[in-house]
Amino acid sequence: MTPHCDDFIPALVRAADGALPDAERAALDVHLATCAACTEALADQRAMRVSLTALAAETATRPVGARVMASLRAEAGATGTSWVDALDFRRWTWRLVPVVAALAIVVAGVARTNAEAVDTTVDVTESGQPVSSALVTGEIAGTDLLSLLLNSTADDTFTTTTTGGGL
Amino acid sequence: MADADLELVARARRGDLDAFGDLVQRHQAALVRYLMHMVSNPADAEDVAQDALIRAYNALKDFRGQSSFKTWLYQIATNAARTHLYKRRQRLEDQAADGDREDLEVGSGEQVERRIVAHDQLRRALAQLPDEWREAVLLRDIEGLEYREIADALQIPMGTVESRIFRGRQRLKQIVTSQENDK
Repeated sequence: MTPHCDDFIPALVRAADGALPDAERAALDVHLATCAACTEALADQRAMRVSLTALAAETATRPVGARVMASLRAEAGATGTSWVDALDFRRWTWRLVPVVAALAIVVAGVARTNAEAVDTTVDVTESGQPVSSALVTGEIAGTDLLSLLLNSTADDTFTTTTTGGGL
Repeated sequence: MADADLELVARARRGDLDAFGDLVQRHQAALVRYLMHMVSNPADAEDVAQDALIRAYNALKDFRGQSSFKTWLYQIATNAARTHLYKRRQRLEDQAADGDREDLEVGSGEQVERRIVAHDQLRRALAQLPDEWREAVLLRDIEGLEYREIADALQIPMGTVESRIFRGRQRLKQIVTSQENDK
């Protein structure tokens, strides 16, 4: 083949496939009429095309789909989620429901405990007055209350006697 | 086919693993066949195909739909095959350097000797082609891709596709003729 023949390579390839438009085929035929090398090349191209197509039909393959899917499912199971799952807000918001429920229970428990603690602060004195009122009216002296607070523990309540200095 | 692929891709991107399974079912046979001729060994071809399909699944978010899913899959498979061939050649070169007398010929003779002689010769000839030519020839003559699809899959200009196919077939013809003359 000459350097000029290189210009016909696309046409030779497609002609061997039977995929060359008629207009280009006519130009190729003009060249082939005077070029033995390109004529031989076209014959070789056709021969290989036919042989390879036959080889494709003869080639047996074993499916790999089961292996692939098993691997992907194992991967998804190991990570608990795939990247597409992570992008789907509906999936991860629903997965937060148990966490939210647990948090709600904890918050409710803390609130109840606090409420009980508050109740002790409004407990009444022996005279029937709330502690806060007794403090205002002088039934409990401020120094007594300060002493109590300094000496009490977390489990102590304010329901003891208010006379003689201690609550 | 392409529209159905795109619908399955969309579902797979939303996390539907079964949809990706359907895509695998559609393309696995052609993919393994292509890779079998690329790496010249059925077991290796299956391994590379599995690797390529898993890579494809993990890269689904990067699939823009500018080419068909099939073309995109061949692009990934070609890259996986190149990596596999590079590693195998490195391994064989290391073994040769260590004095290992293992056969350096690409491909398993035991596998292909069960086939008819003409196909046996052709497989051997394919294994001797430069990778770039073999990819183009296989995608056209074995897998039946259009020239535009091959250009997309290999990310090369159309003229380069035609040139590689032409030179690949010519070299194949020379190798097969040489094998026949050697008998």
